[in-house]
Amino acid sequence: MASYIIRRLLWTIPTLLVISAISFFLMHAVPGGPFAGPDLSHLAPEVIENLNKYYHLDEPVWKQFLDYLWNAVRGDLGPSYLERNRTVNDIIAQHLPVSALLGLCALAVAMAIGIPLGIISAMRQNRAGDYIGMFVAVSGVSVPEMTLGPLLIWIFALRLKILPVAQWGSWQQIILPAFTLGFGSAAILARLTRASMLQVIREDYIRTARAKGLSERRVTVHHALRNALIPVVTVIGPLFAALMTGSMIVEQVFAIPGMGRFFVWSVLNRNYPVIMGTVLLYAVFLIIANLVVDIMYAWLDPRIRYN
Amino acid sequence: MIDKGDPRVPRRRTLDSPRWDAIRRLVQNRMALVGGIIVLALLILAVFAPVIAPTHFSEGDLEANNATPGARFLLGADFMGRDMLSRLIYGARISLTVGFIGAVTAFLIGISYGTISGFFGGRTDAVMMRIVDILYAFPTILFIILLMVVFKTTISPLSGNAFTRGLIAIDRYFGGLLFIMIGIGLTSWVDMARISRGMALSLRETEYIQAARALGAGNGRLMFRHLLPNLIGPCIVTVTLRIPRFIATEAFLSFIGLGVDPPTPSWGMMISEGTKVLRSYPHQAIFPGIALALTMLAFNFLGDGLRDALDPRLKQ
Repeated sequence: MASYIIRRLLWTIPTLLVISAISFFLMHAVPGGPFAGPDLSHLAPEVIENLNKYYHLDEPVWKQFLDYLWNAVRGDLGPSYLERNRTVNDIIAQHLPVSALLGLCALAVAMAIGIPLGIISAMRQNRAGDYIGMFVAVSGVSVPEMTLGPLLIWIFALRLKILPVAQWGSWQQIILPAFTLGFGSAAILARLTRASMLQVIREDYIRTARAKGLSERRVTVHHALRNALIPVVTVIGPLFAALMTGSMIVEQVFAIPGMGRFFVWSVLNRNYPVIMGTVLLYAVFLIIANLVVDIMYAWLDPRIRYN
Repeated sequence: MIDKGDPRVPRRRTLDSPRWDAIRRLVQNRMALVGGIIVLALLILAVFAPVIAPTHFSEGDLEANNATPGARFLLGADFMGRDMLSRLIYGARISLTVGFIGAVTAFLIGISYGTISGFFGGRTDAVMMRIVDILYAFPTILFIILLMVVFKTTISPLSGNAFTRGLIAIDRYFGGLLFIMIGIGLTSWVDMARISRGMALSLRETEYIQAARALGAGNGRLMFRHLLPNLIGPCIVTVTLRIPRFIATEAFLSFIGLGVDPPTPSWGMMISEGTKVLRSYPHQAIFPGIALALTMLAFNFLGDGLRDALDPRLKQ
């Protein structure tokens, strides 16, 4: 088991290396640099040349890459080109918590809606409750955030006027974005919980519990649920990672100052270090999330370890 | 001579193969049927757009901009006076093309890669899967965004050789779609490769493969005539269920301005333009949103139906 974990962890290093290489060289394939844009065209060419020299942008690309790696390994992800006195580490420290909080709230919404929905669907299989529940689930998976976001804003903020339109700061402003982001995951959780419950309630120990005369509620909550939720719990980790790294759309629609929106802005403005930093950060999250899932499955199924 | 009218002879249904069973199951699934009909309707709209749409998508009457739904503009007009209904119909072209190309690339490249990797196993498999794992760890949306920026800025009409100028010409013909298709194609196959490799690995040890090998079948023949037909079913299901994601990706790229070039209508871009006037003219953002959701819903229903229809455990 330990050797499996160590092997997987060791593989993350070349993975991150390749990912950073691909991102770096892709970025530098874009012509112009951060200082070649139209808003800086009023500066004298010597100024721009000095800027490029200061940030080592005139050196060969492979050298810039190695320098970047050397710094990154020591924890320095570089300065932000478009904002003086802010390093990428600062930016991440400021904006990542926002995305994380949004992801967390979305996860809470997903669990609060999805899991009960799945349980109810399973208990009322093939009856009205099941069909309604699964229809909601499929809708949740199909309705993209780009549709749901503006729709919710229009209904709740503009017509009913009970929630703020956008942006970040007060707890009311978290509600709509969290719901938009979490609805899709709620659907996924609902389906998973339902499938898992359906399997569990056919088990013998459930039959025994019922034969013993326990109330339906105790059978469901105390016996069935505990086992049915195991596969659901394994999914929560990667789900959170996915929510946190996939919040770009919601952040754009609701003007939330998270990493996703910052990334898009950086890409459009060639803010190289921020781009690299974001890509590496997200990649690390996804790798860790996948690793956790794989470890859990390896623990549950020994055949995987000895592969 | 057995008389077919003889009641002692058991009649066989003429359409009795597993394939017809699956098709029958699919058609009986109401939600899948609805999904299929919607997809078909979208296809018709996309192909016959010039005939069905009231106006061309770039025709705008600036005097009537931001019109609300009414007699002249059935679903209203956008900020340049262009008919929303027509733009939605033309937008179906973009979404369906992207979904289709993504699916085809994922299917062709992904399945070939995965089957080869899973079939040969050992070293080849290890190397090929390492590559896939690394690409898999790359956050897809970030990768596509980077790719799009590179495409849109490096390949300019003034520089480059005949090849890039040819690419630009094709791109312009399709309204800015080519690079999106390349971008989505480059990232869509990874998933498929993983899945088909898993299946190839498990199918490799089955008896009929071993039997075919014992009969002298070469590797290529084994893969093509024996493995592939068994992989195709689940792969079609998976690919159909991935199409909504491709469509959503293109919509998002257009939403942030890295997608199709205006005036080509993309639902994502229409939503982006619509959110700017959400307070006064909500129809401009809501209608494309509904179109997007309906399309994704249809493909999801269809994919679910296909999966249930092809599930061998449900065979009667």
